[in-house]
Amino acid sequence: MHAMAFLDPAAFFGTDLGAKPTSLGRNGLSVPLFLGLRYQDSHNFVRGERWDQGRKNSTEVASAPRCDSRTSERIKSFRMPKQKKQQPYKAAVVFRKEPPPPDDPGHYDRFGILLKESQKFCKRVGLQKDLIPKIIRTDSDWAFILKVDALLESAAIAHRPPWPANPTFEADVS
Amino acid sequence: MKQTFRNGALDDFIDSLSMNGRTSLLKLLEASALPEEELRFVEVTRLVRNAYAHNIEYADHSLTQLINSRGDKSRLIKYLSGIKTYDEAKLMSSYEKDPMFLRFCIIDSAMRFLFYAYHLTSRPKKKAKRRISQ
Repeated sequence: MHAMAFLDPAAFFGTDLGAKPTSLGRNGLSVPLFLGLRYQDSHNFVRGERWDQGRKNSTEVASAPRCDSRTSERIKSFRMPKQKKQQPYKAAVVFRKEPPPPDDPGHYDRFGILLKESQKFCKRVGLQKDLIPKIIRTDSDWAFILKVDALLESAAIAHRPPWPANPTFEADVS
Repeated sequence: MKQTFRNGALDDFIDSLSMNGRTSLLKLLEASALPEEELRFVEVTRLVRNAYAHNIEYADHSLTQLINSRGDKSRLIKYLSGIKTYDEAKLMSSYEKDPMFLRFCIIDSAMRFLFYAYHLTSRPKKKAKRRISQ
């Protein structure tokens, strides 16, 4: 073989390398070919695979056996999620449906709502949770009014305007 | 050295305030911008409570009977009910039929008062100042 054949891959292999121009190195040499490697692309690197498969028998470059079976096994081992079906917006989003208010206001449980909200409020403020239901279920009206009045008075006393009833200030004592 | 002072004297002063009068809790609530209806409701509840407390004969009376026996009946019904438009006679008859209805109205007004008192006490949150980029 002529010595220049090493510098000219086309002469070296006797093939046209125009089919794989990207495999040529800076000096016009097919670097992957000499190393017995093939870069399929920047991230998929298969060692020992030659790019000129058609001319496999005509070359003298030793190449490692192909590992197609390995790569295929590796690809099979991936568990890819199933592609979701494209749904229209209304089918994809779950809307919470609240029952509409009844036409007849007599069927609307205002008392139940009041008790429920009062429990929430008392819990938030720090009062006994079932304070209001207990007051409502008082036996006599006399005791009921006394309890309501006591509740209002304690709320009025606990009420402190932000300013000027309870000012907090800092003084430089030094 | 910095020290923080809390004005406990004002706390004691508010605790000792009476419910009615020129210097009272109601005046303080009024100054704190509590709505007129809630103020009148507290006032009327105190009236009914005093009527029950100062006359032992009323101990067996129901609330509707007590209201009917008083001279300021219309005012009591108006502020205890918390209903905007009503027919007084019909409303009183419905109260007599179902006493829990009147209790519901009173508790409803009381809850509204508690709600206002809670929000009047809490300080408003400071809003972040908007920075103007130069």
